Amino acid sequence: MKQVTDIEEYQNIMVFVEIRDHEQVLEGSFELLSKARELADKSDQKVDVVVLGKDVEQYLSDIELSNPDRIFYCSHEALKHYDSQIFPDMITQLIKEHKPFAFLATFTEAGKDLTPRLAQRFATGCTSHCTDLDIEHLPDYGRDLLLMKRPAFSGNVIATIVSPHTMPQMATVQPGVFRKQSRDRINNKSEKPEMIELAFDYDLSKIRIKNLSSPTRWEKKHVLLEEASLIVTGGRGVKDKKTFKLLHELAGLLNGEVGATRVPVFKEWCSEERMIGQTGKSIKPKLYISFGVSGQIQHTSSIVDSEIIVSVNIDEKALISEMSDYVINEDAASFIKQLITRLKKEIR
Amino acid sequence: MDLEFSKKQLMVQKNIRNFARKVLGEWDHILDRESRPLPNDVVKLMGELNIWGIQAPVSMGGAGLDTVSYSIMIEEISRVCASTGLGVTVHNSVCLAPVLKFGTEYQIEKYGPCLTKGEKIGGFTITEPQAGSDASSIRTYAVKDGDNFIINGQKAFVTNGGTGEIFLVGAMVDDGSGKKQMAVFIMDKDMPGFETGKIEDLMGMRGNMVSELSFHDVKVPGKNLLGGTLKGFSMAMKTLDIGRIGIASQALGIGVAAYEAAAKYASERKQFNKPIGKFQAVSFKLADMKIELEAARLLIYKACFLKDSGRAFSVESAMCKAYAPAVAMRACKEALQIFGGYGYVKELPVERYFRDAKITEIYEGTSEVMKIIIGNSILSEFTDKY
Amino acid sequence: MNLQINIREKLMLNIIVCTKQVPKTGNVKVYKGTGTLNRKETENIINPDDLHALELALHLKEKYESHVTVLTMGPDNAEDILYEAYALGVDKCVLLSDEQFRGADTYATSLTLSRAIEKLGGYDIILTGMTAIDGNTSHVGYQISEFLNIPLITQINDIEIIEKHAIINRLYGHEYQKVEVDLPILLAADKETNHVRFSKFSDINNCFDKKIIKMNMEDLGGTEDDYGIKGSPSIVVKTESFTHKRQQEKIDGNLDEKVEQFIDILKKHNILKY
Repeated sequence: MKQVTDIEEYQNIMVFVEIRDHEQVLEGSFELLSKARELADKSDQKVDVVVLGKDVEQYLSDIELSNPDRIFYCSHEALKHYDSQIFPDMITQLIKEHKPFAFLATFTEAGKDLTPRLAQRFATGCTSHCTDLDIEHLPDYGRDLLLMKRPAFSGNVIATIVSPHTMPQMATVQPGVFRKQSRDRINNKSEKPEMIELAFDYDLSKIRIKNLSSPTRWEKKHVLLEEASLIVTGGRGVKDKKTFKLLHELAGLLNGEVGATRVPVFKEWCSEERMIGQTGKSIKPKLYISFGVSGQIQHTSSIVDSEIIVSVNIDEKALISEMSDYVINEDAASFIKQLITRLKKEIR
Repeated sequence: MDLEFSKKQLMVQKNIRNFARKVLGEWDHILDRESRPLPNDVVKLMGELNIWGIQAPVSMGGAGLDTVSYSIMIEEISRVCASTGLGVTVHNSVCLAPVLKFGTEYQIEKYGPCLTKGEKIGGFTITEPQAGSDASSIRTYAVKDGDNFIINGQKAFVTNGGTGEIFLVGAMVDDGSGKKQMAVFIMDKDMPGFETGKIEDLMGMRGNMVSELSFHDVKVPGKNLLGGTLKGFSMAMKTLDIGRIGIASQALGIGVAAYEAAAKYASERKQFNKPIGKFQAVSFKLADMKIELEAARLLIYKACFLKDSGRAFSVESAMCKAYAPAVAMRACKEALQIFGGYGYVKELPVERYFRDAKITEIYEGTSEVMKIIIGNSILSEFTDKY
Repeated sequence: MNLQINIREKLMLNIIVCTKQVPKTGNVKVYKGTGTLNRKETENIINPDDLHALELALHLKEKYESHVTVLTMGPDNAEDILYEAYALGVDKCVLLSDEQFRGADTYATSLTLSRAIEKLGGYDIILTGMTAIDGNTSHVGYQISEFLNIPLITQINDIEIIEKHAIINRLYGHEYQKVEVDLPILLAADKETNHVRFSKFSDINNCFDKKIIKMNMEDLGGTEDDYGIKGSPSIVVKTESFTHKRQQEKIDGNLDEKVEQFIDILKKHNILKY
């Protein structure tokens, strides 16, 4: 790929900060800002924020706490929801003007639309849902480059990618990958970031996708276990029907589904369709939490594809521990009750 | 000599495996538990995909594929649902195939398309309560009456009996000279006097509505005499040659299902701190299964190859029909043993494979009859003729 | 998922579906250390999301008079997936194959596909799968949308074509929206969009008799700097094999402490907000 002629002029890390559901700043954006700060400090660059939305002024003080150097913002009714034309067009202008070394966004519906579009416009590389970022001097290219690490082949391989000849280097990051650093700016001696308001002069008649009716809130339909991304399962250790029923409450708090091993089904604590086992369902949730499940093979062979497995069992030698990411040695019933109480406080 | 599937056959395999897993996989345990047939919409979907006429001409609504593709289809279906595999192989091989091969123009035109598309399900029956292997002792009688035949009699263990509409029926006819011979008639269950008897409560293949049929003065038009000839016995035997490839494929499918379930279990189940598959007692059982299943497979494809190249294949057909069911039974028995107590529990499909497999050694000619056929052919091969 | 069949409209829609042959990554075999794919021992399939795109195209073909062309960029044996497409019932298949196309990243791939689409011309609807199971980037749909300057709609629940525009019911964030867009449009499908049909065995029988049209760099125009590795801004500098071992991390303490730590885990993995 031919090198862009003004490559040396590109400086600073630009972060797209997203407003979630017109309510608050996306947690992932804060996580990303923490990482951007770390990378900028390491490479002696600045952190620029771009935030677009409706009434964004209310979020600026919160964003400040993450210590960016500059915040570019624009407030307008038309920016209330992410738009595939307005956002890329406005940010393209910003990039042309300020030539950032790197452009980062969180891998959300907006981020995954915005970033490849921008990358196409600048004929530059874009690496999606990165699990790690770093800046390193690569002798092969004689320059500091952004190293972008991501999974490929459905997670069987981790690839490290660079975009050495073009700018900006673009990446989207999975939410939850980076830790949001504690952002106590009161004790921090750094200066307040520069706030730059962008004018909104977009010709709205250019918008190609027209909304015909006001959007309807999507009611979560009853999800099949095979499609659920969070499953809480009860086994013999849940002890009785009453406690098993608490799992439904727990699942509701976590927005997940309830599964069971053979025992609860045979004891009629729940219906057969909840059974996960060799003749039951085969599942692949992001998070699988088992309560009082010993881990007999009929059950465990069906849960191997879960991303994260947490097991709660009074018996620390329960078979299921061997295939768990987190092992909690506790009485299942007590843990469930305490967890529900605690979660209710956490979720307003 | 190419021992690999062609690209077309691979695509057939992929497609039917996908169908079996996604569609039949929802029903196989229900059919077994409740002894009920597939729902009509699934039967209809199978018709749209040409499953009911996979070797029938494309112009008739079939797929026009070769016999190996047919074997693959039966194997893959039977792997998931042996009952359905049975229904499909009987329909294709011993009802539709003989109609297309031996039928008169009228018969092919009248029955070909509706059978090919699965609009009507078909069956084939010779067996009677008192006549199994001794086929010539059947007592169903067809008496000529003008342009028609009047048929009386009773048939037992008719596959697709409960769901089928078109049946090839073996009946004895007076050939005019006082001698009796077996003729084959195409009968429709709507014919007055045609009665479907009780559905059998079976050990396995419980998703197939195997039943008795009885005929009370059923008037069958003369043009329904298969091939327009009273010499039905040889047609029936050739039909069974075709059918046996299907039954062998069915047995293979059941055996493969048992083997794969056992192999997976043996690699996961731990006793004495290691997967049980690491113990030779278990791995040897698996090794034997693999060897025999592969051998059965090759025997089947040999018979397919001979059939498709227009050569005689009765002996090879009998060989794969003798071998594959025996292999399936051994695989099922050892698979269940590997599962131990869990193999005995209805919650897992292993015990069903065992129950389904047994009949493959019996119907469409018992293993013993197969060996008679093979034995006779050996003798005639080795006897010097002067 | 609720795609209703309305009265057959007399529209002649020209539909192009972009597909990709990918290794079946569930069984991927990588060389230990480098993590590069052992292509010889890995089975190749049509990308699952692309099958849903094909299904949507075939659904539109049944609903409206349409012509469906399937396009893929790949080596010669990528034609296997085109025969599969023929067996599902499409009208024409095109293989974009050239040594110069090798090693393309998503930018170069999107560029190549876009040029081919423009060469084929006269399109009303372009369909792609949302994500490929090997690269997992989901970029190509968005970048083709940029190259061709046509709108992209994803997470489709329902679609109706009336004259030269589409009325689409789609999921956007947590909301269903009903939108109207003028043709031509680009649609991205995935497993939520529909259930893929099975092939008829008669179609499998005759699919290998059908012709696959080949296009190479010369047919698309441009120079070799536009395509393949030379045309790719992204470079992979390292690949490592990754096996997911369960860490078996013990959570200790009294009941309260364990619950607290558990809540922390939920936050770390983005199940709960901080």
